[in-house]
This record gives sequence, C-alpha cells and structure tokens, in this order.
Amino acid sequence: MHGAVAIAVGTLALVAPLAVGLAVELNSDGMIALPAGLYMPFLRVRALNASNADATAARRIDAFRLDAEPVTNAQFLDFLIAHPQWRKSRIRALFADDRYLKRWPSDLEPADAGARDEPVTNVSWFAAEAYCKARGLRLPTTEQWEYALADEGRGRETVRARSLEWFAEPNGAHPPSVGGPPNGFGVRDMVGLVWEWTLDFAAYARTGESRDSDGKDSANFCGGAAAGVADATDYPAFMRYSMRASLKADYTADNLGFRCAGGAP
Amino acid sequence: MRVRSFGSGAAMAALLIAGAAFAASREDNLNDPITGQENAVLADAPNVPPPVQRDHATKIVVHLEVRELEGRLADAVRYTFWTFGGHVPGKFIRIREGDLVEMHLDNHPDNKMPHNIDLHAVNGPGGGAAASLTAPGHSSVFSFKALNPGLYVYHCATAPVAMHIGNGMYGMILVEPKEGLPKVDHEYYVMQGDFYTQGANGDQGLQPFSMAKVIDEKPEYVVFNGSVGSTVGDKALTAKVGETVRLFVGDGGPNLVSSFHVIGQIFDVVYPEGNLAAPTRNVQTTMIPAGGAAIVQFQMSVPGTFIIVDHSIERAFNRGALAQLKVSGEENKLVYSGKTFDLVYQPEGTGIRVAGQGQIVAPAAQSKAERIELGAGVFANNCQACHQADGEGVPDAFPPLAKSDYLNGDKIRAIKTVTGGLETKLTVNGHDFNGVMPAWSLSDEDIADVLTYVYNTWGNSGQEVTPEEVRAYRIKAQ
Repeated sequence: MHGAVAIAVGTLALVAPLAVGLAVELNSDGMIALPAGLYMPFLRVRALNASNADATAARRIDAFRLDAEPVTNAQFLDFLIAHPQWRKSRIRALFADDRYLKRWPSDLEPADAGARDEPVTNVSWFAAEAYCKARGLRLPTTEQWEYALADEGRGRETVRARSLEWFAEPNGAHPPSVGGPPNGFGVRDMVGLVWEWTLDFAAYARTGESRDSDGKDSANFCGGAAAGVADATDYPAFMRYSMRASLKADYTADNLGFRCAGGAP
Repeated sequence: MRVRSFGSGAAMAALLIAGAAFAASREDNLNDPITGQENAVLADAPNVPPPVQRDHATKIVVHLEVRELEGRLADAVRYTFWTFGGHVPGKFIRIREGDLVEMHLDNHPDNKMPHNIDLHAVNGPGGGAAASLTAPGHSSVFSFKALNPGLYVYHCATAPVAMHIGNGMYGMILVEPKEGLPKVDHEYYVMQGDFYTQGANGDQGLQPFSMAKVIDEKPEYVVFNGSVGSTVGDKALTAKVGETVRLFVGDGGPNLVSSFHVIGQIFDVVYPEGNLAAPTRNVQTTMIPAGGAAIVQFQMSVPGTFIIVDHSIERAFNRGALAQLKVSGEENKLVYSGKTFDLVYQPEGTGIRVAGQGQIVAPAAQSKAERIELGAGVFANNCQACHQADGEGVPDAFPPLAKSDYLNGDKIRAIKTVTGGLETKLTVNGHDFNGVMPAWSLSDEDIADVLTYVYNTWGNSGQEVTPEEVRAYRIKAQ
C-alpha cells in the first residue's frame, strides 16, 4: 500500500491525492492535470490487461492529463481537414460501421451550426484513437476515466443522480453542448451528455465476447453482476461497464463520444 | 416417444381430462428434426399469437426490437420505458417444443443503453444473455432449441438488471407441447410488473426511475400490462357467458411476487409456474414468482365485470394492480342470484353492540382504581371517536367531557344519557350542541366503569358510579 492512505472499502472510489495543494490546472490545450492518487475499482474482476494485481485492492493512478470536455464536432472537423482518410466518404469499413458520423450531412459539415460545440458522436474507437494520436495523446484508460469521474469522492450522489436522470431522458435529435459544471478536478460533462470510449473498453466485461471460454462471463449480467463489484448499489457504474462491454472497436452510436488523455505535464 | 410409467391408466386419463400435457422428453426435442423456416408471429398484450398448427419442428426467426420510449404510466404520469418491441410487457412469442429459435435482438439506434435478453426457455449460460449484449444501433443473433415445454418469462439481464426490468424489459414465450393446448374460446396475455418512480404514486409529470426505491423493493406502482388502467373500460378483456378463457400470466417483477386472483371467478384449471405437465383444479388465488408465470383457465358462468387483481391487496387498491374482464350474456340466477332483497337491518335492542352480550364474562372492578382502569378501555372503544382522547370533544359537534358542567352537575342524568341516548339540544360549558348520542347497550359494569373513568379524568369531579346505581337509573330499551 502506498503510505498512510485511508481507503473506505465499499465506496466506489475514495482516494487521497498524493500530490498536495491541488488546484484546477487548465492547460492551454484544454486539458486538466490530474494528480496521482488511489482508486478503488468498481469491478472486482481482474481486467484482461491488468498485471497480477489484487482486484479488490486500491489501485494507484499516476498523474495524467485529461481533456476538460468531450471532443466537439468543431474539433473533430479540424482533425478531418488535416486527415482526409478519416472522413466519412473515405473511412475504411474495417474501422467504422455504417453509422460513422451519421449526423454529418457530408464529409466536412457537422450537423448544423449549433452542433459545433456538441460532443462528436458516431465515432468508432479507431477514429477516436486516431484523433487523440494526432494530438500526441491517447484515449484514457478505463481506470483513468473512472478515476476522473470518482473525483476523490466529491459529488458522488450528484453524479449518480445526474446519470440516472440522463438514462431516463428519451434520446434527443442531438446531444447537449459541452460546458457543464466542472467537478473537483475541473473535468466537465463526464455524465449527462454522451457515453465515452476508453482505451481498454473491452478489457473488463466479457459478456460481449463470444470466444470467452474461461467461465467468467457471468460477471456482468443478472445477479452475477452483483458478486464482483465494490458497490452493488451504484447502478450508473454497472451501466457504464455494461455499455463498454457491449462495444466493438468499429462500433459507432448516437450517444457515444470520447475525450483524450496524456501523460503528466 | 419413450415408454414411461404414468401409474394407473385411470390416473393418466384423469390427468388428460384435466388438460395435462406430457409432451416429449428433452432428448426427443433435441433430436426432433427441423423442417422449414418461418418468421415468428408476435403479439402485444393483451393479445396472444394464434396456436401452433404444425405437426413438426421448424426454425423460427424472432426479431425483438428494443425501444426506449416515453409513455403513460398512469393518468398524467409519464415514464421512460425500456421495451422489447415498443410496449410493456414485451412481445408474446409462441413456438412448439423441438423448434429451433433464431433470436435477433435489435437495439434501436435511438437508444442510449446496451441491452441483452435472458429467456427462461433457454438451456444455456445467461439464458442467451451471455450471447446477446448489444450496443445501441446493433443486433445480436443466437439460437436455441426449445427442449422444455411451458410458459416462460424473458427479460433483459444487463447490469444493473433491476433497472432494466424495472423499466419494463420483460415479456413471455410459450413453448407449446407437441399435442398443443386444449382449445379455448379466448386467450389473453397479462403480465404484472412493479415500477419505482422518484415521485410518490400519483405525482404528475415525467417521473425518473428511483434507484433507492428499487433497492428497497418499495414500488410506487404495481401494474398489469405496463400502466395503471391498461386493461379497464374500453380496453378490458372480454368474453361471453359459457365461453372458456385462458390467461397467460407472468410476473416480470423486478421484485414483487404476485398473488394472482380474479374476483368472483374460480380458476377451473391452473398450470402452476407455467408447468404444462401438472395442472391443478379449483384454485382461488395462484402465486406467481417474479420471473415466473402461470396459466389459468376458467369458464364464465354469469355476466358481469370481473376484476383481476394482485390479492396482496394494497397493490390493487393503491398501486394500480387491477384489470377487468367484462363478460356479457344471460344471467343464471341459480349460479348467482344477485341481490334479492335490500332491507334495513334492525338488531334487537337499542344499541349497536348487542352481539355476544351476556356471553362474555366481563371483569368486575374490585375498587375505584380498578374501575377507572377498566373504564379507560370502555371509553377508548366506545366514546373516544366523538368525545376525543383528551375529553375535549369537537366544537359545534360533540360536547366536551373535560370539566363539563353538564356531566359533573348530575350523575343520574349522566347514567340516563349513556343508557338511553340523547336527542335534544343541550348547552355544555356555555356552548350549544344539537347532535345525537346513541343509547349504549353496555353492561351495568361497563357503564359504571366508563363513567367513573370520565369523572376521575381531565379535572372532573372525582366521584364513583357503581353498577347498582346504573341498574337503578338506566333507561330500559322499549
């Protein structure tokens, strides 16, 4: 364990920042610097990409940077101008399904003028990762994303309530614009606008993986789901992990966007 | 079909008459060859697809489209339902044992959530859930062979499963035995479910799902077929006198078990738990587990509106678990006379508490203190509703007993008032009252006790009334 750090078992993520004197740092590139800290994983199932770490132990998250907001249509347009191979008329079928950039009438035309500040949606994992790479970044890992959402335990009930509200809102024609209130780290719009890709979205739940043969595929559905989690009352967390588990890298969806992450500044 | 022992021929005949379906073995169904292919005919509640007419197994293609839709939960109450096919409950699927079902789960691109399907008719991990987790805008396909006949629930099993079920993601699949089900005049589909809204029952507007209430298993609504009043009035189930009705009844939950009952109609046959091999007869109420089903069957004898309820009765009266079956046709006064007389019931004596008088050995007080103690009970049972627990009465309606000049002034008048009643205008502590006090058919002992209690409470005069005094002064019934 990392020094004298208190862990409240049973909460999604209670963390003590290892960096002292945290202040919101918004870099000029629209990214937030998040301090290193400890994170209590929601799923107590060892991720496929994890080392031999104990799935029930708190995990150390190194300092990293994260986009303050999901990537918008305007930002993605800039990327498409510079990288024509990711335009909807040019993208290879291997890298995105038929609904890639569905709301865009043509290659370099986001849905409408008002859509500039809305999160870009209907992007595949391949396209999202290409966008981040073009900025010298990557998609955040699931642990990084969840760590940013957990926000050292601040605003936990608000996050849950907002998530449930969003689940109950029938789908609009397009998602709301970015610019919601920041959490304690300064990160915005993690819930209530869109689902977001993570780098290792497929590493946790194996229900979508028909080749699975290790007998652990009961971990994410029905009653089996409750056995291996830190907090069985956290419905929105179940939903996030279920959503990730349902995806494949070429999938796109009307409510699925992304943001990018990078190393410590 | 394999040779089996059914016991005596007479017992077997009795079971057949009762509608027992023996069906085939699982092995037979596994090996039953598939001939041809058809698309499933699906139906929305309360309708049921037509019976299977085939004499062979086939490949059945089922498309269930998941839609997340805002709809009506109760009058002026809206809710975002998650559905198999656009309605709650989901589409009814009807197949034959031995069929090979190719299940397509189509998650509409407008949806936000990943979904899957667990069919209780499946033998396999997750009942299909492990093979059908589906992102919005995608489809999953898997197949299963129907090895066991019966009526089965299906539901979404994506975590958090209580939220998916709680939002309406359940339906039923009937796996008919090879010989089919006995013919009836009407088949209907009724499925119960509990709903957990953030607002209380009746709070208007679009109500969000309450995570806290579903975890506490405290629903605001318990309904049949997806909403309060889904199956009443113009939308009630219908039948005619002499016809036989079969209800395919399921309970989606997510939490509550149903005490399924039709008011005024005995179930001639029930297939408990949807088990076609073991029907029972003459059932009043059948228990349906959450995630379980039953088939109930009955012949209508008389016309009328028959109310379908969860006989865990608070749910029917206050949470919506109520549907109607309207039956038209000729009366049969022998089966049920209806009301033949409407008379005023006049019990003997003047009061209302005559039953059992003289048979109960009432305790007799041995002291004034005991008399006060016993009198408190008499007061609570007989007087308190009007004169109030604090003896203050109700202004302009019921006179006060506390510090009452009328009461303290005349003990004999008090005895006469309690035993004979009072129907005249009177003034108590300066206020006029013009009500009616009934004559109380209480024993001498009880009246002595209650008056003593009243005289020794709330600052009254403190005197004692004895049974002898009551006997001497009581107003006798005419």
